[in-house]
Amino acid sequence: MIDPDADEFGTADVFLDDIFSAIPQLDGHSPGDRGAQAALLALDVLGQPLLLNGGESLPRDEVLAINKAIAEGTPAERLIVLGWIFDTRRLLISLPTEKFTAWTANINNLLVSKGRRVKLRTLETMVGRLQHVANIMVQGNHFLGRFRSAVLRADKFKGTCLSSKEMKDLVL
Amino acid sequence: MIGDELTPCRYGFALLRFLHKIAAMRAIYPAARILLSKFDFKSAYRRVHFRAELALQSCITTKGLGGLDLALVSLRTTFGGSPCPSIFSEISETVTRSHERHHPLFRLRPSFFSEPLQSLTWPGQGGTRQCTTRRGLLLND
Repeated sequence: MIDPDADEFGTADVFLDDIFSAIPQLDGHSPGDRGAQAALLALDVLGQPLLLNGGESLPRDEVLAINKAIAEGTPAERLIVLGWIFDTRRLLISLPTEKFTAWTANINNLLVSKGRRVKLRTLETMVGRLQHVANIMVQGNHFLGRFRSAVLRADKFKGTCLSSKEMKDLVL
Repeated sequence: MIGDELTPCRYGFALLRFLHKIAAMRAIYPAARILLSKFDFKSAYRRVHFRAELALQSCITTKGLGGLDLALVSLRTTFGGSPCPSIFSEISETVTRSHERHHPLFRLRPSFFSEPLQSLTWPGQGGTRQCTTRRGLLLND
């Protein structure tokens, strides 16, 4: 599945409607300079009107989300992609600050509510967020097993209390 | 729905694949800046229309909604429809692969490379960002 080949032309990938590219900026006339524009060209080619001069029976919008392109399309070394901040200069990937703050607060709330009944919806959201983090911190998957069984328990009994082991997993 | 007949959807590995590619690029070019950019399809699923036959096959019937028996027919792919990621992946993968490094689009000479939207993301010499799209929309920033 993974093709780690990379060259001066850069690379691109897609997740549903998000197309993200990584292009090395080399000295002189780098092919990467053109590579940065290639996604725009490909989207524009896809959205070409079939009949010119307004001859189309069904008017359509541009294929490109223009406002987002203005906000996020300018090539940069630091960019939010798929909910993570990519920093190619330091080769770092991190959660955006606001997301980190909100998620940490939610975990702390769960820890404080020790012994209380937790709703299914709350647990599902928490597991989804931790799963998102575990995509990058793969070791985290090891500590998600008990939470997944807690979700099944909560689904069956319309909510559940977290055990001390599950709480310890949450602390980690 | 016959899942086996749908195009395999590879979105699940997109994040890891992209990370591997960036790491490989850094290994080849240790001193170069690696620039990232991101573009979105506008109203992604809403751009894909069903054929009449398919729309009728995938309609939803309700009984007793507001006292009426209704059939809800979606003319376009819906958010939450199980085959929709696969259907849309055929479009988005085509666009993505068409501008990857091995495709002729990447080999175009700069003089041929006159994408009307490019000035949105690469300011001209005057520092302004203005362009006219193929649909005649004038954009200023």
